[in-house]
Amino acid sequence: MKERLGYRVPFVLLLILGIFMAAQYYIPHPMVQKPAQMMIQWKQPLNAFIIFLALFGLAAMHVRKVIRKQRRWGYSVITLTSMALMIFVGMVWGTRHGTIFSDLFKHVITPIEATMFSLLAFFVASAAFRAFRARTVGATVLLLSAVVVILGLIPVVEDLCPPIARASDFLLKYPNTAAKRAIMIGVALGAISVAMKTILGIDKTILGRDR
Amino acid sequence: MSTDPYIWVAAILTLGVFSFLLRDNPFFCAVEHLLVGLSTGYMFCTYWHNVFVPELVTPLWEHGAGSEAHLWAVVGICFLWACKYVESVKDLSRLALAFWLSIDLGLAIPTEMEAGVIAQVVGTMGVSFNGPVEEIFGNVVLVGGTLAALTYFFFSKAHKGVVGATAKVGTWVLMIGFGASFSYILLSRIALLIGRLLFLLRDWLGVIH
Repeated sequence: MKERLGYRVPFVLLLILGIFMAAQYYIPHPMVQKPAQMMIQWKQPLNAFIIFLALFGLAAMHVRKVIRKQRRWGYSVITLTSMALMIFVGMVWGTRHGTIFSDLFKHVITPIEATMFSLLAFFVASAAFRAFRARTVGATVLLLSAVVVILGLIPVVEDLCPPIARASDFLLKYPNTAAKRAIMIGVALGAISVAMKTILGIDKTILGRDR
Repeated sequence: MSTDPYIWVAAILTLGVFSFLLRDNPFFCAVEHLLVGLSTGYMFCTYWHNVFVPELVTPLWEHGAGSEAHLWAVVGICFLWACKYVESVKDLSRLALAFWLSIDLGLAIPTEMEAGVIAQVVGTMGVSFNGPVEEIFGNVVLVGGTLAALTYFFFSKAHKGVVGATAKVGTWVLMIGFGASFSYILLSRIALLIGRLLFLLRDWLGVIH
């Protein structure tokens, strides 16, 4: 009974509903569309609830760390306090523009995030210095493409050296689009095959079974 | 120098993040954990006010016994998810996971096929070979480059002979794409860095105008 409820019933549910949700895209009849739209409507609050559970898990992990006084537990206190503060101001005064909640977002979260991402400029430049050595044809093509596009995106280069700006436009418009298209097609085919393998029960690991 | 407390808070936090350039230090770790806490709190409130309440709580409160009664099923599925934390009934959470996955994966098959495969193939096949020489050449590169890059991803045949040569050209096309993406990322990060330095020097210290 436990085996049936634990694995078989979820797999049967996944198989039936997965095929139904894929098929409904091609069947415009109300008898199919009505339940399909209803289930899509359920998805949003369900997603929100899953995020709440994830946040609860994160908070529980930090609480455990503080109670057990594990290594670097002081940082967990900062995380828990700031999380509680944000939830408190958001629930009491709302999230609209002009509230403490939006001020905290604008003056605390945004500067930290922007600075974190700006730090990447140093690391990307240092990684590029090491990776961009013209050792092979592929690496040389990557190096040239990056240099031409960077120069082409600088406004003053357009006036000083129009051919570089034109070459940059050409690279972005044609070979870059070709590469992006091939990657998109590959990713889409991969996503479809993973979805089909999971729905048909060929890949069972996603529901916590390793065979 | 600014007298706005919010500017001072933002400036101190900005310096805290920049301190990582020297080495990992307690100031940076504190700012990092502050960001995690505030961001998760922000996420909770945003989902609560913009999704959970208007799409579940309010409809159930107002029409729970009528037109929106079907939403009680969501409440049931939420309970099944929460069973994950109760050892004796944690297997029930797989039912909720299966339901959630079936919607996502079922929808992914037709939408990925439509947007990721058919639309891209139509876009590649639909290019025009009329017009200026530069455009014709560009479209030949576009079609040929897409086919070559796809050949590189085709692993069912050994990359030898014509297939191998085409795949090699495909790698060059992919390298051009990666180079272009890298340039965009680098320039966007530099723009952010300039923005943060301007904030420190202009908005906080007031040394430049």
